[in-house]
Amino acid sequence: MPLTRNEDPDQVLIQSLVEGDGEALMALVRRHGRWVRGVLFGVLGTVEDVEDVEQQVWLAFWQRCGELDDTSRWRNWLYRMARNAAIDAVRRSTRRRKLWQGLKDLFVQHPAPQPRPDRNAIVQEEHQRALAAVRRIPEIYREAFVLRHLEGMSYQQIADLIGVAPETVGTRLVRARRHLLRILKADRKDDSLGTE
Amino acid sequence: MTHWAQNELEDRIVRALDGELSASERAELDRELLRNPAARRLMDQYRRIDGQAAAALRTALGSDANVLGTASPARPPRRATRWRWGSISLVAAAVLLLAVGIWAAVHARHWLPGGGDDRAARREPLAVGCKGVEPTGTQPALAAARGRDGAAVRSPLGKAGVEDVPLMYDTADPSPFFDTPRQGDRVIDRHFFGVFDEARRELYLIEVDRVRTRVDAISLDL
Repeated sequence: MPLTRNEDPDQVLIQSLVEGDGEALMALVRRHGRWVRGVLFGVLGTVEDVEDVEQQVWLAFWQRCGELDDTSRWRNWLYRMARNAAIDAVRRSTRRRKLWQGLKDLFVQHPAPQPRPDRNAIVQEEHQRALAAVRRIPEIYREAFVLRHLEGMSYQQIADLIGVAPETVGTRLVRARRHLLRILKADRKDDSLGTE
Repeated sequence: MTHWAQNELEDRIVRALDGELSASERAELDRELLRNPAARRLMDQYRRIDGQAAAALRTALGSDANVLGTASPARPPRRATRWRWGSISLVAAAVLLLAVGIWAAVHARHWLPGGGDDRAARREPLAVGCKGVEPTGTQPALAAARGRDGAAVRSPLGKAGVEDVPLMYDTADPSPFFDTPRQGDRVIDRHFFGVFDEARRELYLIEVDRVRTRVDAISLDL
């Protein structure tokens, strides 16, 4: 069940933030930064882009929290703010990327053979591979998947945040995993073909 | 004994992994898992990819350092715009290209035939007498533009050690601006892009605006 206004421990922080308390913002970032990053990653798909947009979201939240009519809805407000910022960032970067990609490609050298990776490098490579696969999940399923796996949110919490029914969240999570499994299997197949 | 469709089985497995099954639903799933090896395999696969994805996401996105940094809690958030080396180098490259283009545009009249005469240069169109670029050999993009007297145009970068790099002027569709004095022209829409010649190890910087297209060669030491 969603928390009511009296039960929500973040309400005090939100009130402090509205009154201009910068420390309240820090506390909110510590408590909720991870799922905000999850929402951004759900739209943007790359960690680098998430880092670029994340600060803008929190700064905008700080500057505009006085406009919040119903403070009990702050999570949904922050969610929409993060999502819109991410969508704007995608629009901005699409044109810029197109312009630069062609020129950049000219200077990309083929990487030299790498020395044998150590264990950390292997783990890092696995993470990169997993992230790349998550990135290829369709956005509509990726958002729920990231919120579930990054923050451990329940179906109800995800549903409350993004404004859909819990059953819809369940369906999206099933489909996200189906996509992910298919992508990882295809990658493995490509790898084995490449080494033959 | 229950025989589930694949979709239903997936749904149950996913909800079990997410901790969203009731006790009775979980018991039903356990019975199915005992009976059905394919279901067990699927659950193992989903559990494994869940673990991989969660670890990767938490490693990549789990830290607040991007917003909080190492600042004390009392410190207000940093500025929203965060410059990274990638952004800085892109901006520097853009500025460099723009500077080269502007420099070349300002000095262009000295390399055109009769360019020494400022008054004549101001009265003459940029690409004199050409109806189009004549392709030569297998490199039409490098076809030498020719002036009114048919002489090849000298490279603007010749002084920097690159000789005989032709200039190309696209005069197929001269606009009314074509005859306006070059000095003081306001270029409203200008683009630069580069084409890299692997054989020569040269980057051809191509400037396109509403009146002309020019190709300059830049030697690269990559």
